[in-house]
Amino acid sequence: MEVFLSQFIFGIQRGTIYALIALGYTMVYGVVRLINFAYGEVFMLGALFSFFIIQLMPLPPVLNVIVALLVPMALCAILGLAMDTVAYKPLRAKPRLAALITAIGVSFFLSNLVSYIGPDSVRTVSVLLFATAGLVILMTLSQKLFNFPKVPKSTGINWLKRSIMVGSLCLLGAVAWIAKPALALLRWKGSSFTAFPVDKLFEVVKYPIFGSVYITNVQIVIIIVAVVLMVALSFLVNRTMLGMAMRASKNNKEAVSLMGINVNSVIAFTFIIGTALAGAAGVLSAITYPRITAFMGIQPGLKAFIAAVLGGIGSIEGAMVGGIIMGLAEQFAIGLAPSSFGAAHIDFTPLAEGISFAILIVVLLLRPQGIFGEPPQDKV
Amino acid sequence: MMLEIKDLFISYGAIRAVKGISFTVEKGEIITLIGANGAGKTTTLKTISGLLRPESGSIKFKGQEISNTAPHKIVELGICQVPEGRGIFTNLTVQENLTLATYTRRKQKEELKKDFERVYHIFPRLFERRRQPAATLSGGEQQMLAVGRSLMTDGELLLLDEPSMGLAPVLVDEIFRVIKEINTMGTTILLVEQNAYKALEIANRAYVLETGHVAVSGFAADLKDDEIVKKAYLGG
Ligand SMILES: Nc1ncnc2c1ncn2[C@@H]1O[C@H](COP(=O)(O)OP(=O)(O)OP(=O)(O)O)[C@@H](O)[C@H]1O
Ligand SMILES: [Mg+2]
Repeated sequence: MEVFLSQFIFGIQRGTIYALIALGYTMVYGVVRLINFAYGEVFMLGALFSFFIIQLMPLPPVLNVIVALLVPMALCAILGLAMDTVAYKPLRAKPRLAALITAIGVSFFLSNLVSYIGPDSVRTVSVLLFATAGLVILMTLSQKLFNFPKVPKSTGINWLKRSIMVGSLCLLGAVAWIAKPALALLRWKGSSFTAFPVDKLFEVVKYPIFGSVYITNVQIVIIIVAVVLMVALSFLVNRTMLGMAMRASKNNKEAVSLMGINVNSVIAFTFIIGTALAGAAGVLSAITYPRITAFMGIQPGLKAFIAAVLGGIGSIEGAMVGGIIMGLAEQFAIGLAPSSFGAAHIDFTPLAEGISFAILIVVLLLRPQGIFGEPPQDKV
Repeated sequence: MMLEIKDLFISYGAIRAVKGISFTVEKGEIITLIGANGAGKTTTLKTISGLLRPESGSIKFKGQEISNTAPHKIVELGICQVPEGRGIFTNLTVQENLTLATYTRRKQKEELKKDFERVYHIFPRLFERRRQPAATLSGGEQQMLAVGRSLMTDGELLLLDEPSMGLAPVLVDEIFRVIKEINTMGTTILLVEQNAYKALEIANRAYVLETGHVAVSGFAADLKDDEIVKKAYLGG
């Protein structure tokens, strides 16, 4: 009983993190039928941003937890908007496979970029960014002077867009150049493990609840934050005009635009919300398993995807329930493995690994639309 | 002049669906576009509301060129459309469908209340079912919802694409009565119909489309008695 209860608490905690990431997958899929594979990387960046903030700013307690959570969420939201604008929006009218492959590309790009950003290599990144900006300038000049590469006459060169592009590349390049000493100071190691300074946020306190079963303040914070985020999301989706527009866009995008709503903005908001939640998941996860790397998002990203499929991709309740089920299933699998009895490691033991994929296979065989998904139908 | 269309050409890839049509809609009128299947009626409406881009030609709404304007901007300017096949949001409730249509005027709280009352007054059936998901409505009720929803956008010009499609005769009469009523209350209407006889009964003027051309046009009353139109579209 006691073992069961403590595994249950760990499982819920693990599950809320999957659920938060799964929400992003499911919301974007619902509206644009795209699996944005980059959520795992957004998750990683959430943790990374939080790490930087904690290292850089000595903040008073309580406030620091809020800042270390909200600022990364905001940064991830901006990243989500950028992702949609740069990578997905231009492909909206193209076959879906194109966007899917782009999503995989975005995912690899982000994890590899971060792995490359260490004190030793960050200036190379900076040079590359400046070089890209230079290339854009050269290309624009050649288009203006020789019309090569060709621009369609009707559209022409969008000077504002080009300037913003060159400007942000240069800005990022400059930041990367300056960042070298900062990274060394922060002890960020790039590709290898870096410890996440939880001790600067919390002093871990255990509260006994039943026999030898205890719950930590960290776990309480994680569960409360996750619940608050999910309740806020439900409110947004079910009770606001924006949420209504999101749900309507699932059904009929053309008709949404006939209501005077800019469908592209609705889609952008969906990305923003999804990435903010994945960023929050990254922070919450780093608090529990305080080691961060550039590739830490791959596993949770994949698991959350499975959770979204399990719950019924496209369904918000499905993502929440699917995430919790996955977390519990994995935790019980680990709990039953004698070697790691009662412990919560970031290392997903092979058994837990097996469980999640076994769940995926069973779901695909028995109920391909997932728990809350509507049975597949051909819309007329 | 509310709407002025000149030499409009519209293509789907290599297929040219509309080949140089011109027509006008004056403020306060009911204008109907009739014609056989595939004549290009839906294509024309979709282009006016911005869902399709014309190959060439001009669309002027109250003097402003809109052929390159995004659909949601066109709604803001005052054109609303009931698309072919209704296009209601089946996963939203009736009330939510109507609410979403008020997006561009969500600040006018008082007026909105009146408009909800107006729509529920015209379609009492929708009021009874306001909390039901639209998917559970019958075909006729869905059509009422589509018309009611377009009223909530409060456009000056309402584009209707076959509002009577698939309805029982009693409901067809009801829908046409409502269209007339909406027009009397001040909305200009561009009506696309298969039911040419009914359409000509309530319209001021009509344009008969034939494979992407305007074949005949004139006052609705005259067209109703025109031998050629009678033969081709009114069943003798
Ligand atoms: N998405 C599309 N792709 C290719 N061709 C299309 C498309 N939509 C319509 N067409 C073609 O364009 C022509 C005009 O179609 P449109 O839907 O405008 O006709 P309509 O007058 O509304 O007919 P109906 O009375 O049957 O609704 C038809 O020949 C049709 O086959
Ligand atoms: Mg049609």
